[in-house]
Amino acid sequence: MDAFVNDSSKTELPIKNLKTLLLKHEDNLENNTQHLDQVLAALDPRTQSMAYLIVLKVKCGDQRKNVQNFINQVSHFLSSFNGEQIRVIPQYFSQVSKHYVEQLYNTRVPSRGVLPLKRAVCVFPEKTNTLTPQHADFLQLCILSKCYHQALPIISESTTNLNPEQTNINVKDVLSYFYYAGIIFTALKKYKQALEAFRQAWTAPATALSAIAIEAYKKYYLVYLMVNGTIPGFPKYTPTVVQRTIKNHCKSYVEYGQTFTGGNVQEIHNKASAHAENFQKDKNLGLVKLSIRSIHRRNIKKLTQTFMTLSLKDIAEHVKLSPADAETTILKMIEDGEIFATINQKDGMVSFNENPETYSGNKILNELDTQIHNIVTLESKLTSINEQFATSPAFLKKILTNEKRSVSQYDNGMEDMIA
Amino acid sequence: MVTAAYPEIQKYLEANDFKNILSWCTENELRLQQDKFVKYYNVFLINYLIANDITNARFLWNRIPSEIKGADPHLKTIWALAKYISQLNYAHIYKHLAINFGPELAPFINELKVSFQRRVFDLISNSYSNISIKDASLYLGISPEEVVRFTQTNGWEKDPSSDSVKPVPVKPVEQVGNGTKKIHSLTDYIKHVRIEEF
Repeated sequence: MDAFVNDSSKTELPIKNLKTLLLKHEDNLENNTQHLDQVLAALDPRTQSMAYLIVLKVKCGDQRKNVQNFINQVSHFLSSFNGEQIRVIPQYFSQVSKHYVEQLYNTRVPSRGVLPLKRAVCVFPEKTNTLTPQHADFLQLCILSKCYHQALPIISESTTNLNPEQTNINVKDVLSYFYYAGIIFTALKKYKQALEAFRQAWTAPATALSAIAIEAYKKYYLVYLMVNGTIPGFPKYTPTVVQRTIKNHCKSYVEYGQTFTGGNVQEIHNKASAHAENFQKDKNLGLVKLSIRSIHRRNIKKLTQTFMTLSLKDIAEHVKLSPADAETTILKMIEDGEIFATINQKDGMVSFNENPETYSGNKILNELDTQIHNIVTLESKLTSINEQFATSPAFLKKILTNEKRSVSQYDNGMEDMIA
Repeated sequence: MVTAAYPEIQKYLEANDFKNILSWCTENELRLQQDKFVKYYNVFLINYLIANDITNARFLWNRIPSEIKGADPHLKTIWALAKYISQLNYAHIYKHLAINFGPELAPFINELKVSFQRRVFDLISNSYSNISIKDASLYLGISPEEVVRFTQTNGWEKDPSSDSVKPVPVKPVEQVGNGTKKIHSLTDYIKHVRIEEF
């Protein structure tokens, strides 16, 4: 044990050598779990991050450990570790982080892990915008502790890097990340981004259907109904297996969607309560209710496309609301920028206006500037990926063999014809 | 002036900087020990309302441990207020705003009332071409006489025939851009495009 502590401070060694040196002690640590807390107390997580992490990983396997202590130790570690030392043993890091989330969940204090893991997602990856397995862990804690706002800055950044060798990230981590991100965007009523995140989860390349994809699709389906009022289709890049089979797993949703587009409020209510048990089981009943509530707003919006002015009474009749409720709804819609209208209480009329935005102000210019900036960054990223491919021996070899094959096939064809 | 009931945010409060109070609360809710943050929950909740962020106010309410909700009588009242704001139940909103929350919370409640009234006033100005004095008085939480006096200073005309007023739309204040920054990003883009070409 003392030897391990001694070795752990040899940070002057090249990082790979330090790793080999420290991992030699792992068996010894596993056989002496009762002394692990003492070892941790002797280590400084800032300067001896690698050793600290190895001990924590060994502790994950110890069934008899004090859970409170473990949580404190990991929190302390996550709030101060040195990213450089951790990057050489990513599989240890993700194992500890997963176990940590599990223990926080079991002891019902998920909020305690939010800030430590938030630091972990920011410090661990070498490059920014890299997705790590800890991203999904972090989002899960945010959802469990209802700290959605803590996750928003992280999920609003577009992630453009995946580096499996360096972060030990796997498919499940990626899918969970997008699924959780979708849930958080939905909770914060950022539906456009929510749809995008859910779609990433169920359109990810796949040869078999995953449970995460199915759950993501269910939520996607309901949010899509609520936002657009129509049934979503499959984008071209959707894997065939998903296109063929996913709807079999979401029968209640598809039925509900068909009724929904029919537009008959009573029937929609009936369908929703008929499948309420299924929706409840999937924890989607809230979304179903929201989708029903969106009907009035969408119907009012439709009216603005047909009429220039309409009396409040007529509007109320069209959308089946009382005149007072219709007025409140319209007022809310104006505030949210969904419609442009003015109400005249004296005549009881509502006039629908054109969008007053002239697209000439400073706000639009700034918006345009941000968009161009994003595209330029993305373009540079694409160019660098392209270069990586163009210089990759494996890729070039594949191209070459493919070319040879197609040429020889062509030759054979010619010979056949001549013969 | 009350002697600092909330020492950590006193300097923001003196500057009427409610935006920073909200970010302080967001920052420290998880960082501070719970017993140190406990008295800030009500400030946090009101400031979400001042920022007109009902969604986050609701999640905050769900996060607050139930024993704290029970111990602080004001928290429940503020949450009731939040619900009325989300339903736009004007009569109840103003009734709740008039409750005595004690000197410590008074500056926040006062700001909430002012900002809510301002928001509603802007909304009415842009959404109505004609509104009855009765409704305007309900929306703004002031007496009909005050409505007439207040709206006239803002250029609204009174329509004596129908006991109503004619709102004048307010235009949002245009932000002035930073020219140097714009030129800077423009050169960046041109540089990018030129690199592509060669």
